[in-house]
Parts: sequence; C-alpha cells; structure tokens
Amino acid sequence: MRLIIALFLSWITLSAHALLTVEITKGSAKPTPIAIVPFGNTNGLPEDIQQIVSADLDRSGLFQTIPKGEMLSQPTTQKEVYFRDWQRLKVSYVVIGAMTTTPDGRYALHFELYDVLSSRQVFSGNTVGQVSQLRDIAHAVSDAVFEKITGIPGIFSTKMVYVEDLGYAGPGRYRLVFADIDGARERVLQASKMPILSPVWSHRGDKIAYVSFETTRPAIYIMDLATGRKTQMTNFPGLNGAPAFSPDDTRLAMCLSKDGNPEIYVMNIATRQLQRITDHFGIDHEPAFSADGRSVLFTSSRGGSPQIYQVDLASGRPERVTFDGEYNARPRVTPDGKSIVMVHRDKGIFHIASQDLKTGDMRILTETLLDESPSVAPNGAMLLYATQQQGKGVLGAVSMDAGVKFTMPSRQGDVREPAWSPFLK
Amino acid sequence: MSDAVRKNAIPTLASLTLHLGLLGALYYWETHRDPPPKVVEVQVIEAKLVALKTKTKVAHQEDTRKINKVEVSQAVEKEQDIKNRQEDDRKAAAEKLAEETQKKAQQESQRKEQEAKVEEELALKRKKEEEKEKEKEAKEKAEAEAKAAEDKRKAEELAAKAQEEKRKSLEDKIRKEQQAEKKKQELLKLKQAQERQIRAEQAEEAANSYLAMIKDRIERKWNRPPSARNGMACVLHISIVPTGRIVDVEVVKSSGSEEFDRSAEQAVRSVEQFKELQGMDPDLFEQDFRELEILFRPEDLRQ
Repeated sequence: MRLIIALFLSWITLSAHALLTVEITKGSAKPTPIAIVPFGNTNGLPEDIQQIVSADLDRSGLFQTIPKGEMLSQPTTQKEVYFRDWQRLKVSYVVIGAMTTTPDGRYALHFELYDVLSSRQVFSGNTVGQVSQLRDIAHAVSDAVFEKITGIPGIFSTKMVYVEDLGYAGPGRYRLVFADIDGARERVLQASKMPILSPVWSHRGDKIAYVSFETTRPAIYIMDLATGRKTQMTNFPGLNGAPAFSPDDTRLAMCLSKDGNPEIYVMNIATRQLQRITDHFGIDHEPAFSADGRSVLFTSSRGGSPQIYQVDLASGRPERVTFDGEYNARPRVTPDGKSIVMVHRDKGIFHIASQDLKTGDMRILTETLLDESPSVAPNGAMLLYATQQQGKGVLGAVSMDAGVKFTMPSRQGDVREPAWSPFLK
Repeated sequence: MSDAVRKNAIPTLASLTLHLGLLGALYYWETHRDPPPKVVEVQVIEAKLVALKTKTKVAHQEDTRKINKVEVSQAVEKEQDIKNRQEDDRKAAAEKLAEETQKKAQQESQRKEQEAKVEEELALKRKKEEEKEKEKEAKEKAEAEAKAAEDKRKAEELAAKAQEEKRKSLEDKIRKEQQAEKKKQELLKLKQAQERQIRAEQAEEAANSYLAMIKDRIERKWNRPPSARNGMACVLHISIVPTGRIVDVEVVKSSGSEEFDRSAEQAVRSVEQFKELQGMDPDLFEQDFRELEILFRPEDLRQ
C-alpha cells in the first residue's frame, strides 16, 4: 500500500516536473574551426588540393582552418580518424580523403566530412577531373563542405570577370579578365588601349556583355565565352552603356543617349529591336532587370539627386525605390529577387548598401572608401565590389550580413567593375 | 448462495417442524379416530365409576363437617338435652350399630366388588397411560430432536452472525487505518509541497543565475549557419552529470534544417562542460539541471 502511494507520489512529481528550457536567441560570429587533412596520394601533383580547399573556406569568413603542422594525425580513411585527437584541437569538423587515378588517366578524389563533436560522418563524395582541373576538384570539395555545413551552396567553383587598368598608355592597357572566383587561372578575354567598361554575365553564364571604346566611340558588345567570339550590339551616337541581360537572356537593357538625353532602353537580342522605357529630362542610367523580368530598376537624377527607380515594363510607370541618403546608384538585384545592392553615398563617402525591396530597410555593408560596382554572388551570401587600397583599385568581398569582409590579393594594376558569374554547369 | 440459505433457514425449519407436527397429529388422529367398541364400553363404565366414587367421598366428608359444626355451636345449649337423650341415644346407637354393622357388611361386599372393578379399570387405565406415555415420549423425542435441530440452526446462525460482525468490524478497522494513512500521506504531501515551494523559491535565484550562465556559454559557442533565419527554431535535450559535463545531446525538435540543427548541437557539444554546476546544491541539480531543454531560436539575425 505504502509502496503504491510512494510510486503514485513520485509519478505525480515526475509528471508535474517539466524540463527547464534554456532559450538561445543569439550567436557568435566566430568562424567554425575545421581541419582539412592533406589528401592521400596527392604528393607531387601540380596543385596542392588541401591548400586550395583551406584557402577557399578561410576566405569565406565562415571557417577557420587549422595549419597542417598542428594536426596530431593525418588520416585518409575513416578508420584512421580518432575523434578525440580532433576534439583536443577544438575543431568542429574534419575533412579527409584520398586521390586515385582512373583507367583513362583522370584524377578522382574521394573525400569525407566528419562532425568531430558528435563523432559522425556528415558527408562523403567523389569528384573527378583532368590534371588541368585539379583546382576544380579542390573547389568542388570546398563547395560540398560549405554547403553541408552552412546550408547554402558554395560559390568556390564560380567565376568572375573584371576590368584591369595596367596604368600605362599603350596597347593592352585595359583588359577584360576572366578568373576563378579566388582570383586564380585568370584569362584575358579582351585587351585594348581604349577603355573597357561594365562587364555583365548572362544568366546562363555563357556570355559576357560589356562596353568597349575600341572603335573610339562607346559600343556594347556580347562575347560568347565558349568561342571567344564577340558581337557588337550597338553603335548609336552618344552614350552606349551599362548593358544588363534579362533573366531569360533574350533581352538586353541599356542606357542610350541617341535621343538627346540618357534614357533606358530594352533591346531584343535576336531582333535588335529597341524599346524605350524611360522618358525624362533627368539622367536615367545603369539599368538592371528585376528577378521576374517584368520591370527594370535604374538610377535617375530626375528627383534632383541620383536615386533608384523601378519601371514596370508593361505600364511604363516608374516608381522611386530608394529614399535614404542623397545618393543611391547602380542597383543590382539579389538572386532571390528580394533585395537590391547599390552604391550609397553617406557623408560624402561611397559605400555599398543593400535594401530590402519589401520593407525598404537599407543597410550599409562596407566601410572602405570609394566603393563601387557591387555584384552579388549566385548564392546570395556575398558580393564583390571595387574599392581602393593604398591608392590602388582592388576587389573586395563582403557577406550580405556584413559579418565577413576581405579584399582580394592585389593584381598588377587597378582592378575595377567585378562581375560575379552565376552557378556554372 | 449462503445468504439465501441463511435467510431461508428459519422459515424452512419452521415449516419442517409444522409439517412434522401436522404429520404427528394426523397420525394420532388416524389411529384414535375409530377406537374398538370394547374400549368405548370400558370408558363409559370407567366414567361412571369415577363419578360415583368421587361423589360418595365428598358426601361423607361434608357430613362429617356438618356434625362437627353442630357439635360446636350447640354444645352449651344442648347439654341438658344430651343427658336426657343419652339413654335414647344409647338405644338408638345400639340399633344403629346393628344396622350399621349390617350395612357395613353389605357395603364391604359392595366395596370389594367395586374395588375389583376399580382394580381392573386401573390396570386398563395404567396400560393406556403407559401407551400415552410412550406416545408422549416419542412425541417429546421428536420435539427434542426438532428442538435440537432448531438449536443447532440457531447456533449456526448466531455463529454466522458473529463472524459477519467480526468481518465488518475488521473491515471498518482497515478502512479507518487506510483513511488515517491517506490523511497522513496527504499531509506529508502538502508539507513536502510547501517545503518544495520554499526551497524552490530559495533555489530559484540560484537556478536563474545558473541558467543565465548556461545560456551565455552556449550563445558564445553558437555559430549560426548563413542559412539561419529569424523564426527558425530547434529544441535539444541535454543530459548533464554533476561534474557539469554534458554527456548527451539529442535534437528532439528539428528546425527542418539539418545545418541549423547541427550548429545548435555543435554549440552545446563545444561547451563540453559547465564547471560552475559543480558548486550547485545537489538537490537543485537533480531536480532541474540533470536534464535540460535548449531552445535555439535566433532573434538577432538580419533576415
């Protein structure tokens, strides 16, 4: 009897006693510690895959890799992984793997990602490539690791184009450069003694549109990246500038002053038919398609100072989008279509800012001087921009939450107008 | 079943007894309704003789009493007469004596005759009485047996009743004990609840500071993935040992994002140990801190 009562009482106590809950509402912005163990059978290869992956992850700002010298062991298979070793090093994740060669002479890397703290495998994968694609193999590892840990796709295999000014008069002073997003494997698409401006990617990633003065007058060109063939799209009197592909890559928005005043036009690429979409005595410039392709955002001085407006292509009616500050220009829409990034002048200093299109909330993302030409990564997590470092134009990158900022290693000359590629197949 | 038996015992026995009695009476009636004619005759004679005998005796006694009365009341008045009449009386007495002697002889023979008759009748009567006695004895025996059965039944009933009462009192006792125990337990419970409340209030401050410490330690370790958004939430269940070491972490409610859940789990695991819990009151630890739920719900993200 007493036992029953005791049991009953203890049951009452247990059932009435809910667990205390600790609510975590904040986090740290510290990078996640990760170990990229040198991959098996990679000695003597022309590229150091472990080093490329580590650099990718470090540069993202979200990871901090540990040096090879600190590793207590260098496992290449699962059974060689001693989680205690890695726990002692306070790393959250460890990446291991080994290279093999396929019968046709290609390289195949098998790699595995482990959650050190809970001692389990998160992912394992394979990536294959020619000897010339060892960097691609490394970036594929970085992309997979990044995506598995952060929940968003990695951008380490994407590309960029930018304009480089070598700073001396003569042929090849201005270069249109194509490169891996980490700056490696740069390739000059176009070199000219005359300025090259405003390169942009098609949404499929197969073409570049840009402005070149090679004919001594500005003209818009489209270059096919696979063949290197370029096509001149415009040759109007006056300003021909700021091309931008529509989401389906069938149209090109641009700024033309052929009618006397810079206005926004949309050209059908196949037919070259032009549609004028603005009509104002102010300067309308720097168009960009909205994510749904139904409207075009552009910079206009019609209100006195440069501000961003959006015009619906069907109705032709423009609406002002930005209201914060005296200067907002060169809009670019983020991949999710929900925000724009722009050049924003605050107290005489040019910064990169983002604005939520729905709420109108603006946020300044960069702190450097003379920041310009923002271009958003296809995963929407970062953007590239041009800035000045020790009097020299360099590329900077910033995460869209402004938590991570870094500048690319300096090139030979001034680097400007970077354009981040879409995801490439 | 036993109840029914018990309930019906008395009426059953009563009816049995009644039946037996009726049967006895019926038997008696059947055997005596048509007595043989001889016996009837004897009976009549007997009745006459008894009546006669009784009358004679009574008359004789009354005479004696009358004589005595006369003698006492008239003794003084009739003293003279007595003397005068003594002679006459003597003569009369002599005559009377002779008469009486004759009468006596006559009476004697008559009496003897009667006595013989009486003797005969008495013998018959005795025989009859004996028979009657036997019948009576049989009847008494039957009655005694019935009575014994009745007594037995009554005794059994009594015993059953006593047992029932005993059982009832035992049950009462048990019930009372149970009630007392229950009351005791309730009081104990109440007392414990009060004590717990007091202790809880005292411990609440301490517990809150420990909770704040735990919250801070985890928040410092939580690296939210860039895919995290305000409004996402996951719940972890963690087990802690008294050294403060976290021995088990389990996602009990997912945010729907593997990366978000893992970041939360890693935040807890990378804390490894809440050394501060070592200084905690062991009761408080057992009550509130051995198992904890950690809700991860970012509120400070931009989106």
